[in-house]
Amino acid sequence: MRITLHFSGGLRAVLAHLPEEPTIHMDGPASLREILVQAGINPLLVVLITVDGKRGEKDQVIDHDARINVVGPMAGG
Amino acid sequence: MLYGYAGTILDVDLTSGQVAKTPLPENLARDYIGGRGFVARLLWERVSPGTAPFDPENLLIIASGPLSGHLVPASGKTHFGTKSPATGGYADSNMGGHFGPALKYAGYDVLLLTGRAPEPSYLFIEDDTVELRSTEGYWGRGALTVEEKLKKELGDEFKTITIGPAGENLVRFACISHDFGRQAGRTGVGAVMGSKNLKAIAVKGTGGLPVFDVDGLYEKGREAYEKVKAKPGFAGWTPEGTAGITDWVNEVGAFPTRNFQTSFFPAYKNINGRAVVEHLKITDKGCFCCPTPCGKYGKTVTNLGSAYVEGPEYESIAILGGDCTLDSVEEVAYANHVCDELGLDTISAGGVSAWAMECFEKGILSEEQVGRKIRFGDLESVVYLLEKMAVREGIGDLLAEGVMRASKELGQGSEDFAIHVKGLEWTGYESRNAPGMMLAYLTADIGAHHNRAWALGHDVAGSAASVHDLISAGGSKGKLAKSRVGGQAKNVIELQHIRPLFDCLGVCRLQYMELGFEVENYEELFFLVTGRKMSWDELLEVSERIWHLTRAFSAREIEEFGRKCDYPPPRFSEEPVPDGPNEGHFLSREELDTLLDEYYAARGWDQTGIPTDETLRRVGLADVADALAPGK
Repeated sequence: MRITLHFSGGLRAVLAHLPEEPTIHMDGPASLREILVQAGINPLLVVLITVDGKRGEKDQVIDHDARINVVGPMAGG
Repeated sequence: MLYGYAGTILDVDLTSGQVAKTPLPENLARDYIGGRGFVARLLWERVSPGTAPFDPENLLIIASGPLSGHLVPASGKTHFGTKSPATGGYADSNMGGHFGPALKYAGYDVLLLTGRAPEPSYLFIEDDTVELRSTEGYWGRGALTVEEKLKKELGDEFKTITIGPAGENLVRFACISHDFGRQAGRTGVGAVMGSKNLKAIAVKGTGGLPVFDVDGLYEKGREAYEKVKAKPGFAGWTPEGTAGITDWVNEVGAFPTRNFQTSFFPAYKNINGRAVVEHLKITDKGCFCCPTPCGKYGKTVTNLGSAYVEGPEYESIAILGGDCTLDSVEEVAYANHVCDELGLDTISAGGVSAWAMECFEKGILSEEQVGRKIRFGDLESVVYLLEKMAVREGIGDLLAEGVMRASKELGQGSEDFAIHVKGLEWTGYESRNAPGMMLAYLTADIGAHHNRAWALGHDVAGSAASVHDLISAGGSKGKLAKSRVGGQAKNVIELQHIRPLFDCLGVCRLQYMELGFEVENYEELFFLVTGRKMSWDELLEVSERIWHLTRAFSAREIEEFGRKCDYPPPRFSEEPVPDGPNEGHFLSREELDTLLDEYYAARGWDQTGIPTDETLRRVGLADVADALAPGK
């Protein structure tokens, strides 16, 4: 599976080393939580996540190529 | 020619009704940019030392920034400043909406209000016409109600700010309302407006603003708007707005619950962003020129009544929800609406209510004193307290003073769980295992507020298990390790310069902070509007100057100001978190001192927390250094 990740500014502000849009390969179906770990992101740092434009949950299993937007910590207004 | 600015300060003496219009000084624009910078400098210069917050001589300052009202993403911010009734020191509060741009189109960058109107009044501004008008039929009415009435009377093109009964009754955390749900909520700016017998301001402007490069701004402004909408966070963040972080704050154990007794609220999914969208939302609502409309306007229905309400935003969810333990989003929204109509800051009013309920639970407040039984999780109790405090009736008179003063008067150990810093109630992040966030709260210039430096993400990054540990645990760990204490000062200071800079420019920070809209865009837009080439670092130098100035203002105004004003209540340094992801954690007094020691040293302040003479001169505040010199 080819997973394209797009990291938000809030996440890259905390993890300065992150590229904005890396691609990773997963051998088979995996939860978003596992995909994040594989990408070197602690899932605890992820506030919101979307899969192909739709809101996802960290335990949701992905079994196809996907574009995942990862939104990091942000303040509440 | 000062490009970007309207070019005029409007000075209104409410006592005499006299109006003066003076050119905006070029050096003020150069050295302080706008908004928060103008507020800080003008308070320092024009409020005489020792002026009490409710003295007619205290100023209420309303200022916009150079980017306000221009074709720049989210350029609808307006800044308010005064000497705070909550803390006695520097106060400011920022508000979205459309008021600042309207004020600029009328011709004014800054509105200075002094004196006290002989009778309750509102200020009418239509371009050159500036006059005080009677509030016949308005005084005593709710902030939302009066806004609606003024719009009907004057027309929708007038942008209004109003106060509710709380402001009229000098509740120390009364807010200023705008746009049916936007507030300058913090530090009691609404109470100062009430002390001036000023119920509302209505402004309509039809003028233009000078722009250095009109064609360039048109092209780059449109481009910037599209860039923001293309950011990866946009699709995830905008639908729920700030309420969307509720789950995460619980997951990392930072959600204030039961007057900050703990940091995890089991019912959080009932009051999160998804609940706002599914149970309340009718439409999105945005501020002036905003590509990311984070406001959620909706309707709530409860046993106590129904109401149209904007929000609740995250902060109101945290304090009225978790901290008062209201566990349905409809109830949180209703309490939010009651605060909005009464003109109460949801954060402080919720915090005061939670403190009162804990006092009642512990037998420190009796049924006779309160006037009825009150308990956590009960909407009737919360609304009862809000209504009492807004009119200072019965127990409300004590509560209207805020938790610092109320707990001092009540005693019996209630000070230990009066959750504030410097007299300002704490916002929505429990920080017993978040040393960076704790330091940010302790050193925020207005008191316990989060938007000067929001360091919680950095704390979580630094404290959570390593990614390798997480792989073996399946990517999830229930409990967080204790965070390392020390080394947070540099990051907090950096954030304290970045975030308030947006309050100087007159734009919302969310596009930068949350969506990663790059700083180069702001440099470019600032140049196109003002014609001034300033790098991001140069802009941050201005922000640093303002930070030292606000600290100096509080040092000048508050007796024995310094380190002792920077500690949190004993709850955070003596009581371990009882449950949730951060169970067992707290920050000892020694650890708090480590944080403060490092911070003061990095700031160039002495170990009592006062800016040194050398530091003040280094940042261009020689006159402030002279005023603070020993013997002065």
